[in-house]
Order: sequence, then C-alpha cells, then structure tokens
Amino acid sequence: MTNATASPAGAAPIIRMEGVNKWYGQFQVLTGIDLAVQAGERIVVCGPSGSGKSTLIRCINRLETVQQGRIEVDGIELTAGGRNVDKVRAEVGMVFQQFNLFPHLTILQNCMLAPMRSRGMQKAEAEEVAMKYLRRVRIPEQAHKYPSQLSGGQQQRVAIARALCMTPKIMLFDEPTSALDPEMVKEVLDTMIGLAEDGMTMLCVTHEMGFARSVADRVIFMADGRIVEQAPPAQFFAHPQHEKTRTFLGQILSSQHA
Amino acid sequence: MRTAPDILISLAAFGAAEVRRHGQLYFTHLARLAGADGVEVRGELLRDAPVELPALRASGCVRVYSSPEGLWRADGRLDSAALQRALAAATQLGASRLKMSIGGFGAHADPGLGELQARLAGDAVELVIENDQTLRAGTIPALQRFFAAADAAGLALPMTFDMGNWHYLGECPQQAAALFAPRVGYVHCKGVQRRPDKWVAVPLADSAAPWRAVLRALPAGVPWAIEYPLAGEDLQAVTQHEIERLRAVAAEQQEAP
Repeated sequence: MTNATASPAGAAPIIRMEGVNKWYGQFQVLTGIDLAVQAGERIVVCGPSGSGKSTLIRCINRLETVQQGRIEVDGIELTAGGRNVDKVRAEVGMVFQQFNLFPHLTILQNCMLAPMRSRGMQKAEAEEVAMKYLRRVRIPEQAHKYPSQLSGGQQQRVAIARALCMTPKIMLFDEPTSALDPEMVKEVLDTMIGLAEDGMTMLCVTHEMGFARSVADRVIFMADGRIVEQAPPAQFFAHPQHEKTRTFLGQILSSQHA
Repeated sequence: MRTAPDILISLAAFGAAEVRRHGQLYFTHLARLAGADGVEVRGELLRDAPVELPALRASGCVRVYSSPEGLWRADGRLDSAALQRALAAATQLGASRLKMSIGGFGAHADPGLGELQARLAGDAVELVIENDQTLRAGTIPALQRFFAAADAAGLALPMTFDMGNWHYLGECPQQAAALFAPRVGYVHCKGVQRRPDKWVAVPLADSAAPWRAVLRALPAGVPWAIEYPLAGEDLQAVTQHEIERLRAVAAEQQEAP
C-alpha cells in the first residue's frame, strides 16, 4: 500500500478516517481504512465493483455506520454514538447515481426544501438561493418543471444544485454519471469540473478516468475493502504500483478508449 | 422529381437510459410535437409491454416496431416464437411494419423460408429485414445470401437499410446502397465516427461517412428514421432541428436533376 494517509503538510484535514473497519454480517466490506483529505482537495475513488468505494464515501456522512475506527469531518467526531450526524450532514452534500429528486415537487421546490427545513430559511431566501445554484448548473429555465420533464443529465445537475443549496463544505459523488446515456455524461462532468475549479472539497466515486486525470488531485484505488494504492493522477495512471491497479486500469481504459 | 420521405424517429435515438426512465410514450409525444411523421418503437426498451403497447397504439404515431430478436436462432433454425412475439407486438401497436435482423440465418441447411412465408401471408404487418452490426446478419455477403434464398423461395421482403451499421463491419455503405437499393423500403439515418477502438453513432452533420451520397442512391419516398443520438437542453427543439435538417436534405435531393 502506498502512502494511505498522505496529505499536504501543515494543514488539518477536513476529513480524517483512522483504522476504519466495517462488516455486513460476516463480510468485511472496509478493512483498515486510513484516509486524510485536505480542504479543497479533489479525490477520485475508483475500483472494481464490490471493492467498498461507495461504502467508504457513505461513511463520511454516516449513511453507513462503522463498527471500528474513527471518522472526523470538519473537526466533528462522527463515530461518537451518532450524536453529531446532523452537524456533519449540514456540511456534506451528496449526489447519488440515481438522482433521488421528489417527483411531486418542481425543480425549484426540490432545491428549496432542505434549506427551509434544515437551515430554517424563509421561502423568499430559499428561492433566491435555489435559483442561484440552478443558474450555476446552467438550468434556471427548468425551475418550474417537474423532474419527469427533465433528462437524466438535467436531473443530475438539479441534484447537484440541490446539494449546493445547503452550502456544504464537502461534496460526495457516488457514481454520478453511471445511470446516464453517454451523451449526457459530459454535461454532468462539466458541472463537477466547475465546482472543482471553485475550490470545493470533493470525493467522487467514478469510473470516468478522463475526469480523474484532469480534475483529481489524488486518485484512490480500492479493492476488497482496502485502499490498495493512491497517488496524483499523473503518477497513478503512468506508474500504477499494484498488480490489481494495473489490471483494473487495463480493463477500464480499454473500455473507455482513453 | 423524387417523392419526399416521411421522417420518423427511432425512439432509441433518445438514449436507452433516458427512454427506460421516461418511457417510449413520453418520447413519442415529444417526437410528434417536434414534427415527426411517426416513430419506431423499440422492443428492447419496453418496461411494461402490456401497459405500454396499447398506450403507444393510442398515440396513433407508431409506424414501425423493432424487435431485438433475430429471425433465426444461432443454430440456423427459424425462431418462430420470436417472430410470433414480434408480430403480436407490432399488431398491438398498430405498426404497419416489423423490423428484424436475420440472426443466425444460414447456419442450417433448411432455414424454413416456407414456414416464414406461410406465417407472413395472412398478416397485415410487413416484415423489413435490417442489416445489423453482427458478422452473421450485417455484412453484404450475409444479406445477399439471405435475399437470394428468400427470392428463390418466392418471399420478396423489403429491407431496412441502416446506413451507419455497415461501418461497424468494415463494409462500404455506398456499395451496399448500390446493391440493395431496389429492395430498400425503410432507411435508418445514422452518422458515424471512428473512435480509437470502436465506431460510434453521431448526428449526420458530424458524420465521417458520405451519408448524402448514400441517401441519394436509395429509393425516393421510403421513410427515413433518425437513429443517431438526440440530446440537448431543449430536446424538443433539438429533435425539431434534426427533422427539419433531414427534410431539407430530402428537398435538395428532390430538386436535383
């Protein structure tokens, strides 16, 4: 394993995972995870299906609990009996493979809901914030439509805008493009690139290796519940250290004709 | 002067994930609003056929049903059950045409063309044979062998000419157009580009292939279907633009001497 806790010197990490182990029954899905993420860092997590990468990022906002180890997000201890879950979730936005928009609410209402309920915003302010982020993802004209009237790419951009409405410090993406047709992938990746350029701390589970090359500060490769290897993208793609990484990259890059 | 073709939309053009998410009826309405003359319903994209087929029929827009199954099984035997399923779906849809590929035709000495002829004889649905992207059912020689055998059996079947699929198999679409033009009854319009490891379908305007020459070589008046990706912020506007583009091409060809 290469340098699993690497982080720029001198700054406290915004996410810290130490000795994290997690089981589903008898099956250990995460093993000995040590990870430190600096504020503003862009991390891509990749690996074969079942390697634990989605579980890893879902632990960061406690969508998954862990049995052993310590997780700290923005200085808040997340593994302290679940007391701080709401505090952490207020700082961490998440975008899923399926967009999970409320079908009976308009796009605008979807974006206003959490700020009004969780942040106590008034309707006018929530609407202003929602429109700001819908403009940011370049679909303000869709505000009064319902999710079923939008394409998958547009719905995923709404999901990103909805997460941004909570002004999170960290954004987690769990395979955000894998439910999209190829023609829709670029519009979502472009939105994510925009966020990265603005300095958002991002952890993204994806097989989009072009995105990893051009946007990530660090690429983490997981297999069998462990962080097998991590490195800056230039090093990761040019000189993968582990045989499992080389096999994975060989398969994924040939399928993506990179 | 050439007759103007009807412009259809193969619903696969909207993307498999999108069509499965919204359903084919949604995109049928969109295609109609965009000015299409009809749609081709895709069997592989149906989510709940008993519910969707009657609703699609009620739209009055379905012209073609595309079955994802081959007419012949891998062992070369006629797949009567697949044909039966496809004809039934086409009938339920009110489609006048059923599009299928020949699948494993040629792998068995007796392809059962007589049985096929008998099955089609009493059916109002017209079978149109497509060149697909497989070696067995998409190359020029494979289609020539099939049509020769069908002709010899007295079975005159029209062809769906997919102008993009030839590229996937290294065939020349212009040569194919010259050979098959007399029997072409339906055209799939599809641009292509070569990526490092594969061909991909693209709008005609972005195509690396001589699609105008191919269209010119094919019979006038047969329906043209858009089967390249349709995507954009305003999908109806994108679709309308592509329909108008094809109508303009058809008009140019009508005016050509």
